[in-house]
Amino acid sequence: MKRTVFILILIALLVLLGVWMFVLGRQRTIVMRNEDIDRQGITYEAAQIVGISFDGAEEKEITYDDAAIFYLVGSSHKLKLRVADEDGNTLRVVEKTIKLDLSKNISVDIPELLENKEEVIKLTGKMW
Amino acid sequence: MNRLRQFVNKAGWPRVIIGFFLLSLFVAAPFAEVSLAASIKDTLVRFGMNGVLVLSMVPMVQSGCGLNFGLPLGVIAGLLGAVTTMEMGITGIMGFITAVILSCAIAAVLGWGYGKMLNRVKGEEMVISTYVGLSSVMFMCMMWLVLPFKSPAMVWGYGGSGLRTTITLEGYWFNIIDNFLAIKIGDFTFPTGLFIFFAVMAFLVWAFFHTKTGTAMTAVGSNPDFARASGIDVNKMRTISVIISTVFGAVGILVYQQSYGFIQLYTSPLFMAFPAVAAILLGGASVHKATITNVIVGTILFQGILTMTPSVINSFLKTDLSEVIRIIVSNGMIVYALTRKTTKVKS
Amino acid sequence: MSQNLTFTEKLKNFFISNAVPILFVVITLLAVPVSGFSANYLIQEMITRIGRNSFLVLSLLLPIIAGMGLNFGMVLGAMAGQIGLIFITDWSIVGIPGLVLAMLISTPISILLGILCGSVLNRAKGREMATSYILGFFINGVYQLVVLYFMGGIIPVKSPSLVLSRGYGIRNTVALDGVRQVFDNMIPLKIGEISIPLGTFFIIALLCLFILWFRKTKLGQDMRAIAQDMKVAQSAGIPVDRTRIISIVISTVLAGYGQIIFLQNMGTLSTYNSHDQTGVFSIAAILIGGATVSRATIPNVFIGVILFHMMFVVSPMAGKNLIGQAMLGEYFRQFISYGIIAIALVLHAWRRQKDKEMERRSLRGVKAEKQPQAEK
Repeated sequence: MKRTVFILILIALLVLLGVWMFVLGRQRTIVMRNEDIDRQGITYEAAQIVGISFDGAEEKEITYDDAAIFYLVGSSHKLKLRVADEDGNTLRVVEKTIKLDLSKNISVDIPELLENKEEVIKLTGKMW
Repeated sequence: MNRLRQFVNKAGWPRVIIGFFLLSLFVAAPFAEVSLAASIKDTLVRFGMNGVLVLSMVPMVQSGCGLNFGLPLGVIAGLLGAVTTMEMGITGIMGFITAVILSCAIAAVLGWGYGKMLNRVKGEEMVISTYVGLSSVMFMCMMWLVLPFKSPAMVWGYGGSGLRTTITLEGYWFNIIDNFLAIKIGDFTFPTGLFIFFAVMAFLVWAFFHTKTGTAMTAVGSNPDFARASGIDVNKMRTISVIISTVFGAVGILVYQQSYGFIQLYTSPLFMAFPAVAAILLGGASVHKATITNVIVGTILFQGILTMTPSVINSFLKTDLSEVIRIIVSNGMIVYALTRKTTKVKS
Repeated sequence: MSQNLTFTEKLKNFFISNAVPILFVVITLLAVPVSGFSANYLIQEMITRIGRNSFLVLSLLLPIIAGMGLNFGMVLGAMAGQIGLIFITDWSIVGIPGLVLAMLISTPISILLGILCGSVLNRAKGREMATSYILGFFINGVYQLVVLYFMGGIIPVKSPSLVLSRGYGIRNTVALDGVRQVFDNMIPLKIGEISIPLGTFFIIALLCLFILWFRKTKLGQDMRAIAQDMKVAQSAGIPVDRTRIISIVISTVLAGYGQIIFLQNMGTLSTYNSHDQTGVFSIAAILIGGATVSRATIPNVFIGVILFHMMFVVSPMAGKNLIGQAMLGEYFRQFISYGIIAIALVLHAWRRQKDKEMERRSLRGVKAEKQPQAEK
């Protein structure tokens, strides 16, 4: 009896450890897209050039109608967006904190993100 | 009901299951649009091809040396005989006979040494023979590259040295036994020669076990201490059995090749032992006892499954499961045989 | 008995018991100069390979302690480890959490396979090695059935980079980008040009400590008693069958972890081949290190890994430089790994037979000397 309980507790702990590892190690594939989008009749225009940088890493620059892929581990990330015109002159820099759920594939539309006034943005996507 | 149970007990569950499996494959064949006649013919030809190889298991099992996982050694002797004959440029039936004689001579020497070695490792023969087989195949892989063969039919076109991985027997002794007295019924050719050859070989084994040496060998296998007490030279009997097994392995591969049409060198002998072992076990042999009936039943069952699963199962499931089934059936059968409680406890 | 041995007999015994490592030191000493590799390169290779393979080889120790011989069934654990890696790759769990999760997934599979293997081996006492060897092939068939036909179908695996284009079955190679060398680089250390996988070494050290501790536990003592004499152990109240199963289960689980460590170093999993040679190479390594079927220590493992892999690295180049064909060296190293296992097994069985004869002779005592030897 005591043995069985011990084993059951052990199994429960191992499962919990497994879940913890899953949360800790989950890598999200994030596609940042810089395209014009329609939301309820309003068109958000994409910038000519956007520089994207997560957690102070090296900036990735994408042009109009382009997209970039990022791999992020963990839930909370600092995102820095630098919007520029076609000559490369920086127009503005936006810094946000983004919170990711456990989704594996997440797709983000940059124009929509820029319109969002909130400091902390929650993102979700496809679980698999 | 009782008799059914008796039958099942006697034959053993795996055999019954696999027997029914094979039967259902044959029944299902027409529904899968697989020609029954062609399937039966394939099974028969494969039986003839592999029969002698499976037969080569019998002497060693009977003398208590266990299943001959060292079959590759015999196969190597057969390959050496075959390539040497081709190098000499002897073709046709004479070529085949020369190859058989040469192979037997090589196999006898190898078998003698192999037998002497197995006498020193009683009780561990199976795992040791496996590794002796594996390492000798690897050794020969190096030899095939290095040995000074010259015949352009066998040597790599470029470089001019080292034997090819597959050598065609076309123009040498391709199908020489298959076509002997072959009976043609429509487009169905019955390889009579193959069966006569197997029958002769089987008869030789049967006759051997009815000679004085043969019975002594069986005695050694079933109770070595008793055999020793009655004045039989145990080690000598075991060595003889290993020599015979190796020689049969060599002849077996020659028969296999002449039917298949190619000599396969390098790592291919590795894949010869397991099917043969699985086949004889499937036929009802145990680690300590094997008969000619076991060989025949086992080879038909095993080769039947190999022939039927790709065509029938695949047309139902639309995938090629045959390789996986082959692995599971053959190795499962060997594991089953090794775990069966035997009355005799080995020291 | 030993006092009666003459000097030559003692010398002979020494060479018989250390024949394998001595032979290998000689082969290596001959082959290294011929290969023409630089010392730096060889040292780096050896350090990498110790990290890569030691854990796997260490997993062989327990069954040897329990008298079950070389556990050819360790490939079962290797397959379980690979299944864990396939899942974490599908779920894209990266870094150390990924590897820990892969280990967690492999554990229950390893335990089940270990129990199966142990029970089968209990029914095949006296021929454990042959049986576990074939059992490895059998489970390989089941593994292929599961991975090639069930995964992506019955078992959910979704990533297009993993699943074959036909919709089910895992691809031939799986890139383990997310977990590549994360244990190795956990604690980065570089001495000169040579990088040292300190993290992996740390894990291996932990396992060594575990094995040292385990040998002293009640269970470990039981195992040694069983190895001595099964019948005596049984009558002393040791649950023989159960203890044997436990030793195989632990070995299988460790082999699973070992395979994960091996593959995180390699960085790619070849789904249907990675485990093929695991058993052979690990067993060859421990034997080359001077272990026998019935006696193995931790030093045997490390000496073996170094000697075996030294041969492994230098032989293709040596073959090429000597005869001009790299393929020759390729065959040579396979010949050596199989051959060494064959020789070790032969020596072991031979010695056991000789011991038995000696025992018999000593039992007969003085009387025997007057009688002519009946056998042999």
